[in-house]
Amino acid sequence: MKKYNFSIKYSFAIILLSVSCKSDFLDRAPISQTNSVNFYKTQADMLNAVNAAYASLQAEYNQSMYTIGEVTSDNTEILDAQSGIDNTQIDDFKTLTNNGILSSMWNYNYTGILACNTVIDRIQAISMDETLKTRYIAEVKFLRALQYFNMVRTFGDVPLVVKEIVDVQESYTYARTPVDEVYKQIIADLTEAENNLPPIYGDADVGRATSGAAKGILAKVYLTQGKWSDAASKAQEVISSAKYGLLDDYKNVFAINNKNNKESLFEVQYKKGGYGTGSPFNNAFAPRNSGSIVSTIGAGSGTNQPTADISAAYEPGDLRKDISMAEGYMNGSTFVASRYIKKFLDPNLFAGNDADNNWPVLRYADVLLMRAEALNEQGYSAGGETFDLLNQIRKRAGLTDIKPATVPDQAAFRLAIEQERRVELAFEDHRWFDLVRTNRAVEVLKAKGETIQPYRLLFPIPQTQIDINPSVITQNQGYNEN
Amino acid sequence: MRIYTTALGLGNGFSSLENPVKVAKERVHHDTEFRLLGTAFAEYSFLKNLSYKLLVGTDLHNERNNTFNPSVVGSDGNPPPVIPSASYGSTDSYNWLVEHTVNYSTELGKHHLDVLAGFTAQKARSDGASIAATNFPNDQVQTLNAGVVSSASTTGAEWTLLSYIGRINYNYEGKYLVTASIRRDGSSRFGSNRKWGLFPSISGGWRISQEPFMKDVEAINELKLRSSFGYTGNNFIGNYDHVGLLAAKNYVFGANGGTLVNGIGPSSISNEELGWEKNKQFDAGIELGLWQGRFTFTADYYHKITSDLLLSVPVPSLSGYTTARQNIGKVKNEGWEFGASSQNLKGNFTWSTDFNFSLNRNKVLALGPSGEPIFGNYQVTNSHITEIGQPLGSFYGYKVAGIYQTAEEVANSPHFSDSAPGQFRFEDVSKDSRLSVDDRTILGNVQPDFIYGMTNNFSYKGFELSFLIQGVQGNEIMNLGRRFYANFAGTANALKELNNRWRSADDPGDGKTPRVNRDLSKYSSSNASANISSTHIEDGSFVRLKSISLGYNLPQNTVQKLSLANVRIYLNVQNLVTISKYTGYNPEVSSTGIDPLTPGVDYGVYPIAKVFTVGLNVGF
Repeated sequence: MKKYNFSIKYSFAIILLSVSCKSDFLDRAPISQTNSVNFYKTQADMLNAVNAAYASLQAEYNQSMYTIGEVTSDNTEILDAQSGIDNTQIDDFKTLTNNGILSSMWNYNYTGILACNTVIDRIQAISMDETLKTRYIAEVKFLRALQYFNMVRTFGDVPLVVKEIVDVQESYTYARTPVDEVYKQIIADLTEAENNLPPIYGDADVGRATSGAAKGILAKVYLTQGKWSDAASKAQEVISSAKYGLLDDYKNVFAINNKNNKESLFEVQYKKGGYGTGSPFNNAFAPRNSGSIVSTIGAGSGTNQPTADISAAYEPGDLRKDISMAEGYMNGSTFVASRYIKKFLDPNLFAGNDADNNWPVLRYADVLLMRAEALNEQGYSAGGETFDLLNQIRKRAGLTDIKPATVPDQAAFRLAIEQERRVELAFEDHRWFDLVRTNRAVEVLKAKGETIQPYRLLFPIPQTQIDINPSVITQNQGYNEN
Repeated sequence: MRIYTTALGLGNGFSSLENPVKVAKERVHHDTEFRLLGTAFAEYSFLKNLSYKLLVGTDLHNERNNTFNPSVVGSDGNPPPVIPSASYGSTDSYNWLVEHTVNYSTELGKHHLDVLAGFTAQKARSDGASIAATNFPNDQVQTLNAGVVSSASTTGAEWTLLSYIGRINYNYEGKYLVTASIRRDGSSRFGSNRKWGLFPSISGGWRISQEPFMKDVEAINELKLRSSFGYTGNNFIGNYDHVGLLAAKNYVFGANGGTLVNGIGPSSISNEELGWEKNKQFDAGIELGLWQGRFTFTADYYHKITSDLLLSVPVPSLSGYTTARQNIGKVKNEGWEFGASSQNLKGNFTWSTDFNFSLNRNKVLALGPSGEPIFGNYQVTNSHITEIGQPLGSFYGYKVAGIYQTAEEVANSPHFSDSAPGQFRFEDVSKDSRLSVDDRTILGNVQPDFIYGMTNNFSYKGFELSFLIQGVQGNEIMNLGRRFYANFAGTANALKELNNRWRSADDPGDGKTPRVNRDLSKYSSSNASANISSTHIEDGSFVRLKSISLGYNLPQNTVQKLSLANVRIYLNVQNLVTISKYTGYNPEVSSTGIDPLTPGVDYGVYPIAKVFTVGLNVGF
């Protein structure tokens, strides 16, 4: 350190300088980050806030949804625990309360729900185009409902937060809300969404939630609750809207140059190119140790590999099988028998885990099958609409029609739907939820040699959340003994 | 070009492992740093006793780093050739301080008074830039122009601090000393209502040895009692922790493949009530010097209460946030510090010894409104717990009581639903005859019982020898690297204790090591995601010969013959011997940084080096 003697003149200049900048000297707003004080003022701000609510879907669907929706079920499996201890626990029904995938699921969904609640709470005070205001609210209510629907199906009772938490102390007062009340909120949100969302958007806004998407998810909510007639009529509203239809070629449903097609009601949007918005499924689903043979760029993780059981579940001649999965890959001239999902491959991905595939949350085929199921649950009919609905799907798959002769009663039709849903919607995060919703999970998996305790139909509440607030947040039955 | 091996096709889930020598030699990482510190002051005396002083200080700092990952270096599971990539980063920062002080000092007979009042302003700003590029055609040109830029960003951050200070020093005859001071600090890091903190303190001393009645006690040349009480503040947190920040959360909309759209969503919660962390401290001490300073002794006692701790605390994530910076809790630190130094021998052969010993007790007195414990997560969820009545950041998990030998033993002792022979048997802490999450307990903490150090200096003629011994006693370390080294799943190399594992009830091994397996039960040894158990916690006590230095100064007449000023030959050795039961590399280190909620974890930290230095020092 050196010391210099300044001239008196110079030092007085500095005195003046330092005094003159004194006021507000301590008020320092972040330079490189937007902050909540200055944001949420304009219509453009609110649009950004709504977009951020959608963005949470990527984190939610990137891993936890397929792990719960598919890996848990008989559709897919983890072949090597090196692919991830957390996934393997879930696959083997040995899920522990500190499982990382579940705590991510919990955290990501509540981050998304906060983004929705923030829009709802803050948009009221903003003067902006009223039509857009209504639409923005409806969009985030759709998203909030979808997230609570996924949460309630995974964890059972979950804390129902419908406003932005601005004081962290408040978050300690929320206990787990009974499933029925959560569903009430989901239905209220979706009902508002279906009334206030447009049926379609202009080119720039394709991918936003539509009234059709809200109706479709609502049909699934009703189906999950066993409200058959409500489910049937919501599905019918989607069908009658004439906005949707089955594509002729099953392959085109998942084609990366055919996103948000006529068969799609709602997709999680992805875009490759180093923007942080690429989809990871191309690499996540490629077999472990396959190098980049299947994934093209970057390694495969093997976190969602089809089982022998689903391979055998496709009827001979089913066109969907070869589009959906492969039995293995060629390593040079050697065939490696390691099944993988083909629906979400991107042959031209930008980088590892940066592909272009959208994720189908709800497809028209699902709506047709929901309608058929809801009708059948209200009473079997030999032939007619239920058979037609199912056979539309089968026809596209290159399969022969099912007939009342071979599907003679309600129970048989149930199984026909279960089978058709399984192969039509394979690897799209529906199988586990379907098995649970139809009360078939324990029975079906037991027949395949997987004995599960009934309490494992719900997943454990993340232990961290209980530990943070033990007198308020409780564990699901069965898991405390773990 | 050198030839290296990359291990391929290892099985067990490993397709390749990169050669570490190659990684070290071929990967490029350059850092350059430039720093300029400067202080200037001007002083003006208005009156004989009254002066004004202006002090201006600056600290300029520039740092740049370049990395290049060439095509020849792969990573584990991704053998070369890989696509080369590179990055460039820079940080420019400045920190200036302006201090105005007015000083008045006077002597009135035996009274001495010194009064100071002042005002300081300080501002720091740091600007960072980073660029990354990939798709380099080859390894020849390593600057970013040769690749395709994949990301670039610049960021800035700043903080400011204003302080008003006042201090009065008074002493009477150099015997009675009193200092009172007060400062009012304002920091930009706190919420608008809580930016300012007021921190007074007072201290006093009595140099008993100056009293007339001590004149006859020849053995005592210095005896002083001193004590102080006061408040201090702490603002060592992020620059914007009180502000609710939003983050870019971009998404995609639009036909024909979609277009990126901007999204901005909440990432941290506002806390306008965030304010200063406060320390309230009492000290009392004694200084004693005997026999003209041949022996000195100091003893100090302190008692410090820290309140409104600035902690980033895990919060219910149903809020949409996983952590929040809060003023929470109250912690007590209480302890003793002793120091002694002695000139044992004087004359041709000299020997002096300095010794210090201290102990500290840390205890949490209060936590948030409900008093619930705060958990800390380092790599593993809930690896630490902060609980009232315990030290901050205690290790938390299951206590291993043994290994289940037989199925009967599992059935007859507390167990989890899927406990099995060969797995750990944990202690039933909750005494409910079964094992559950309620059986997690505190397994140790980083607080030592005491620490000590001793330096001895010897000299004889031109020879000098000194050595420093340091020791820490009674702390624990979380050897979390054991998640991998003692993970007997066959996926990687393991510690040799694997040889003593349980194989069957008839071949139980050493009774401490569980069986090998790849199952996913948390009770096995092999589950990397398992909770912390007492097998991760080790005694961290150690004694270390921290340094030895042996030197020889050439006799002055020899040096003069060589026309030199001085010549010294020396040998320094650092960290020569460490005595410790700790099984990791170094009991002295922690990989967790400064987070007080998750201290004391060794997660594969780099071992400490033994350093041998031989030197020749020539003065002209």
